[in-house]
Amino acid sequence: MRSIRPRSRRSLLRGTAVLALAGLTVAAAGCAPSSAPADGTTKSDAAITATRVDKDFDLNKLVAAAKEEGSVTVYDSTGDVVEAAAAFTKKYGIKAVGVKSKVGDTLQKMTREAAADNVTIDATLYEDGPTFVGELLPQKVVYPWLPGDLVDDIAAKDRTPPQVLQKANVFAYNPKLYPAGCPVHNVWELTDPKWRGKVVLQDPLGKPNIIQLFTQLDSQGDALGKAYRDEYGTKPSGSPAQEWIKKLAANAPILTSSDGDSSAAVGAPNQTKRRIGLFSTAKFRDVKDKGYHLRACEGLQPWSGYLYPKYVGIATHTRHPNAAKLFVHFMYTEAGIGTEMHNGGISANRTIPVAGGIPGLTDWHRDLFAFDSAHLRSDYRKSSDMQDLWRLNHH
Amino acid sequence: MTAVAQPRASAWGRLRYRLSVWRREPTVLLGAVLVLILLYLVVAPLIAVLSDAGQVQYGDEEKAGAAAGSVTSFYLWRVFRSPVSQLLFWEPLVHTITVAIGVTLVAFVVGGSMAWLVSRTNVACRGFLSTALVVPYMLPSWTFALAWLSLFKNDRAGGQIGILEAWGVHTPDWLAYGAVPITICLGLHYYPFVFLLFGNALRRIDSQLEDSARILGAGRFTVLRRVTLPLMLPALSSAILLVFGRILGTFGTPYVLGLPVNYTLLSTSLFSAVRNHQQGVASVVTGVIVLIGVAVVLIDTRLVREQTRFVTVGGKGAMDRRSPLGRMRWPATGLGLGVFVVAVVVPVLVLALTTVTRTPGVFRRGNFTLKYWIAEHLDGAPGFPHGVLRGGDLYTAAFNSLRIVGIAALVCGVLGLLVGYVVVRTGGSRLSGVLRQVTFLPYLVPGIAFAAAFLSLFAVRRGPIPALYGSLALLVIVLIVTHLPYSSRSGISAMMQLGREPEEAAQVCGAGWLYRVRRVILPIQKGPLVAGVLLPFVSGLKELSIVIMLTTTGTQLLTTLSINLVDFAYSQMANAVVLVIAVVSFLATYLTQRLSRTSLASGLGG
Repeated sequence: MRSIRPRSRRSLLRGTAVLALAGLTVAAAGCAPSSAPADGTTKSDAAITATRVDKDFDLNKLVAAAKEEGSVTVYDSTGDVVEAAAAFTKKYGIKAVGVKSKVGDTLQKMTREAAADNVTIDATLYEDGPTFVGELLPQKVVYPWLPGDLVDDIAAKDRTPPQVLQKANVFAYNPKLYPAGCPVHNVWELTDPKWRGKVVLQDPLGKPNIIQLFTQLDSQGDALGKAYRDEYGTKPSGSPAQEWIKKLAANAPILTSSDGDSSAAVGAPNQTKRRIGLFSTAKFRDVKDKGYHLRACEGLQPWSGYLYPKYVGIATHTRHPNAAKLFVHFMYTEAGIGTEMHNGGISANRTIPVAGGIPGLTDWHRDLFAFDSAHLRSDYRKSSDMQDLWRLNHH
Repeated sequence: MTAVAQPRASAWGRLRYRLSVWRREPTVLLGAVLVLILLYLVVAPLIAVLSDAGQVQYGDEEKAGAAAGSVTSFYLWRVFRSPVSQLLFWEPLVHTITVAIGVTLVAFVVGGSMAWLVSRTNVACRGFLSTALVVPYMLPSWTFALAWLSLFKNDRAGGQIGILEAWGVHTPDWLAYGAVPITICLGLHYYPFVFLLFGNALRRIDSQLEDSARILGAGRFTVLRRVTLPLMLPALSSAILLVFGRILGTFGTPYVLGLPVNYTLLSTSLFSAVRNHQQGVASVVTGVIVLIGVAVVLIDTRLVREQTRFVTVGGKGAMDRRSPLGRMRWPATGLGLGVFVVAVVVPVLVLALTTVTRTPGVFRRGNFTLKYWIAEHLDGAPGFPHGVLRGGDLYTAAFNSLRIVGIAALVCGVLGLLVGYVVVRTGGSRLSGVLRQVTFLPYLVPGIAFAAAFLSLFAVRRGPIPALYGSLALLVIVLIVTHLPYSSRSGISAMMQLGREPEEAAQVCGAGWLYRVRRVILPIQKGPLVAGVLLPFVSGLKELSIVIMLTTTGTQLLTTLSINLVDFAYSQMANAVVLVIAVVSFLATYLTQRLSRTSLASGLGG
């Protein structure tokens, strides 16, 4: 029987070396895939990103085929999808599972599933346009599809890539503390010393959606430049968008990790601090449920918030292609998309009325900055630069 | 063995001899099998994660100036040398090291002193304290951040206003956010590691050793310094490693408490890289985190390299005696209860209060409600239109959690002890070193970085291993791998204290290996085994980042349920589920200890 001998440093080194060697061998053997799909596939190929529309669309045939497949699983970043799935099941008798998942997780999962050809997610309602156009579509993880019978109700600009819904983030204030109305009239005021440390928003580095606002502003910043002239009487020195982002970041905004924290900082019943917050209109349900004091900044120039779109894609290798199509069709009807419009929204189907009801926000199209799908690719390219711009100027 | 004399038969004979030795003493064989499995499950995903650092990621072609997949130093440049490197890496690095050292100190002082009180003195309420002081670890770590913010928050942060602020007391930024609260909150969360492992080892020290020293004229302090503490070195270094390593990758608490003053750690930097799909940067940061962890492991290995010094359970008789505290008994008890109040009562109370108030922090009559627990119908939450205790969701999720995490934890415990056995019995060999390090590696890799790698590794069929994605087995395997470090540490430190004598005695009587394990080692190591099951269990129950990536639809666990509720903006109900998680871990711990007929204190060992 061997006696225990003291462990020498050499054997430790040898142990480490063996470990490293073993690791290298495993890597060399190709057992370790990169955690990203290495496959470069094709670039901005119009043929891939072009939305497919079934010419001879027949809803009855689709329903029959979907019933045959039996079930469908849809990922979405809002919990409302659970209700949407239930409504779908109720209407068509096809089992539908709606799963709430963060956009980043959905992207990861769908990409891996596609690479492994082991697809469980049949379709996604997807809120991050830049990665939708920058990764999911060109890597053929999902394909864009629109129902032929409803395509005419969808504006041409909303078809590529297929948009299903727009929701809004708005600048809001506390009407109890400001009974006379919104204390600011121009978004540039938010970058002034008067509002230092009083603007609340989610940490842009933790929320891709706000970074996309920045990149979109960078691409279409005319209104912001005009507002600058209205406020200061001069022209901004560089890109108005970058100027605004820099000044906002430098004005010590209060950053939160969730919209709930943002809305509470503005309008919780016992809140006494005077602030302006940027958050989702979904938070306005707390006005009724929890006695919050919230109102969107009416008349804020050039806009009192922004609309962000939600896109829809069907997994390329889905095992339930028809049920997935039927679900997408369903989400372009009032019965489907209505489940996600409780707190306001604009359906891409123009025949469905805008769901408003947010105090202070009268005309969604007029008062809100809208993202332009044509800039999605440049959003995707510019996002890390925009994060750096924020990072370097944030104090 | 006449065959040995003939060269022809000698190879066969030697093999037969070897086999029969292996049957009696299968340590090496066992070790080799363990190493092979773990290399695949641990090292392969790790390489997958780290290899992204040197490859142009999809979407970065333009910036890196090369095609996706080609070799690049772009990410290294970005993290270490670019204009943002200061904010992305160097500052967070300094913060991380500061916080990690601070937390380790807090955990060591609180956990060590409490372990000593409970295991070696006649402090009052021992039974209660030994259970109660472990509870902080059963709460998700952000519970402490939540409680801290509810108390100390000032106007630099969003959310509800803080309680002190509401009373008109202004709290300075350094107290409300940044290094101080992060250190305290994480320290309070992780001290149970020290408490468990340290207490475990303390209880096994033969007090005769200390008596001998005292008989030879050593004072109390000298005994502590020259006898007790040196004997505790393996447990101590294990505990410190566990605490230090975990802090490197923890991002919840640092993110919430650091955000208002822009105090970033490497883990928060990693978190934002992952959130923004910057795999290259995420990979480099992960690499650094792992490297720091490995450096700590190497230091640890040096510290405990002379293993025989630490055998405290020998073949000789042992005595375990508690020293009387005398006049200090009640003050000491007060101290123990004080730690309990600060680390358990306050956070739990804050959490519980949030579940019964419409607006948190407002203590007026009309603001209290039980509807988030028991209401039959709630408006505004379409996906969860009833109190958490209604409907089947909570129970299904709890059952899933118990089943999946429970199985993983059991396997972990046994595996951990086996790893400990192999590492100690083959002490000094290459096998021992590799096994020791491989079982600990997963601990150093932050879960958010690991999750995607596991997904890509297991979504496809690889050789004999089928595509496991979508199966519960995968979840169990991954939980085992990522939580093995807990049980293997506890297993190694426990086995280090167990000399060969008891086993040799059994061997002399003709006992085979399995019999020895069953009748000698397991009974002696029952305490550490329980700890080796409970630590992974408690930690697994709170696991989220990996679970979210690997569960497919239909498998709701308690943590995913809680996150879903956050999405419905029912933070009350989300917190209620967190309380349920804490209660489930506590009950499971308590029942396990009861059923294994170890008293509560001996959950710590012995």
